[in-house]
Amino acid sequence: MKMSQQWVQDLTEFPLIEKGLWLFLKRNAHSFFQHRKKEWVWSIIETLLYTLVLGQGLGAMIGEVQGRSYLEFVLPAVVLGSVFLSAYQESTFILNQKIESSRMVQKYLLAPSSIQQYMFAELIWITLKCSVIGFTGAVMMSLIFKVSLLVIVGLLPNCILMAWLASAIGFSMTSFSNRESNYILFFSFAILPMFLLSGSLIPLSYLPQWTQDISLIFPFTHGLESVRWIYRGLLGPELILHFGVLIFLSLVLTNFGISRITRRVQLRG
Amino acid sequence: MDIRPNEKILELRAASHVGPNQLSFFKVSLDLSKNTTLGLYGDRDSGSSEILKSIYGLISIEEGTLSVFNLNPKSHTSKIREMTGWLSAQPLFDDELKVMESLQFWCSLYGINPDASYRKILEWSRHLEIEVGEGDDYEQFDEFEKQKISLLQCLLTDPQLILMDGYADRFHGAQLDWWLRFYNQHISGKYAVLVYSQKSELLEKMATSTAIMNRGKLTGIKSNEEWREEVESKEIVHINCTFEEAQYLLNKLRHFRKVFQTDLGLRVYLHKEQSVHDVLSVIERPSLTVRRINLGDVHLHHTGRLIIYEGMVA
Repeated sequence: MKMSQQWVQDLTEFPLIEKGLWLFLKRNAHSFFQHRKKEWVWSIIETLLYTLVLGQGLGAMIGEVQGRSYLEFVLPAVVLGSVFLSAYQESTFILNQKIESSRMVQKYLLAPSSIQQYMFAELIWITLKCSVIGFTGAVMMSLIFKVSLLVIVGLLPNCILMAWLASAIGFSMTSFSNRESNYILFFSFAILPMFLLSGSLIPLSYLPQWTQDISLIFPFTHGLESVRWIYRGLLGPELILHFGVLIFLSLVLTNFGISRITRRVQLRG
Repeated sequence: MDIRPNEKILELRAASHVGPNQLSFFKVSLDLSKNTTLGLYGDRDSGSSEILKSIYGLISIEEGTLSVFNLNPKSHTSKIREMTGWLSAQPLFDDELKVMESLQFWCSLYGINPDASYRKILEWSRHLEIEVGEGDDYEQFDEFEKQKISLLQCLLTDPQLILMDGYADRFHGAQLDWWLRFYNQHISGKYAVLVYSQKSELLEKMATSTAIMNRGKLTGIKSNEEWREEVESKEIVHINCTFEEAQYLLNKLRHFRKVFQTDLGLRVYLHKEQSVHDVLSVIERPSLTVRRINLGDVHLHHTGRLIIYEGMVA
């Protein structure tokens, strides 16, 4: 098969959903709730610290943004940033470590269910775990800092979409490289600029026009904008467009990441 | 799937596989029937692991045919895996779960319900002389116990074929004695086993027939007696010739230790005092290619490698 054909196939073929997928998901949930549930604590503390310093501290200096408190403006960026980053870390550094040094992936390579089911379950699990932890953090922040309920409502679908997208990006990255330095490079050159230029800390309208134009290609912009649209009570076609972009990107990158990571694991054998 | 006695579990015909950098195995043929053990003997890069992987559907052969339980591993991978167990040299485990949880989860992948798997774990633990508690972690067990847990995991799923890729090669002394005792009591004659080992003495005790892997080429499947004769022979000479030439030479070479015809010519086993020059002087045909296969220069029990010295032509 030609390389171009392979790429088209990787981008368009959705992973199979078989019995093994549910079994691996059950295993991941069991492992988390029985042995690793402490993991969510740090993520919540991180969100709390950012909200305290950026939202309340900086917010006191800035005052209102777009007619609302700065804390309500910046909270979606803090929560979605945390969700995105934790899902990216899990699907690059930790996944790569599992593939390279743990005997677990090699073990499941021998299972009757295909390794693709295991990898797909990992992606779904990272998405679920990171979005639930992120959303729990958001709810806690709203209670502590008395944030509008509309911000929280807007965050629910976006936590899931951001975690899904970050996992899919992470899987695609991991399928290309087993070097951790490459994951750091991608973070520095792609994820960090995306976060800063997507209207996370200040409204996009305060930035130059060219920055506003570029920001439209960043998925993070669509995530933040959709939260803010819901927050303003605007449920029009733009909102569907923002969600559509995120779903489309996540779907395509899921296909791509799962197909390629499966091949990487099989080749490593 | 029910396998009738003497039914072939595995049939590999003229199969070849090319790995990323080199030929893994070339034109390999072997059969395995129910309740028999076939040993593959060779060095680490002799291609035997790739043969096992192709049977298990982890890699595909480029040439030849392969059928496992009368199924093609490429298209029926999960069906074949449900009936096949894999034992590797390094124990493979899920360190995110407790040992008991991991074993039960493994069973669930084979459709075995938790109660049944729990009963099986207890039963096999007794046979394996190992105690697995509910809250035990893998790290609590030593390497030998981890190997026993691998074996327990393999046997839990009632495989009809077991592939052993270097399993037990690291067993020594009492561990090896335990393994051979367990193998004879619980595995030999009850399962079809394809075992690869770098230890000739281990295969001698386990396998009913042995194939010698030779730099990625399978030299033939032999009974252990024949194989021992080959290994013990100090020098072997291979003569590349046609069928007619071989027929003519067979008679002339009768005073050598043993001569037999192969697909590619003749193989001559020498007595201690004989050399390749004796063969050359008898055949009197400079046009024939004669290769000296020297087993004596290599300590087989240490390396397991068969070295072929090419081009030793007079």
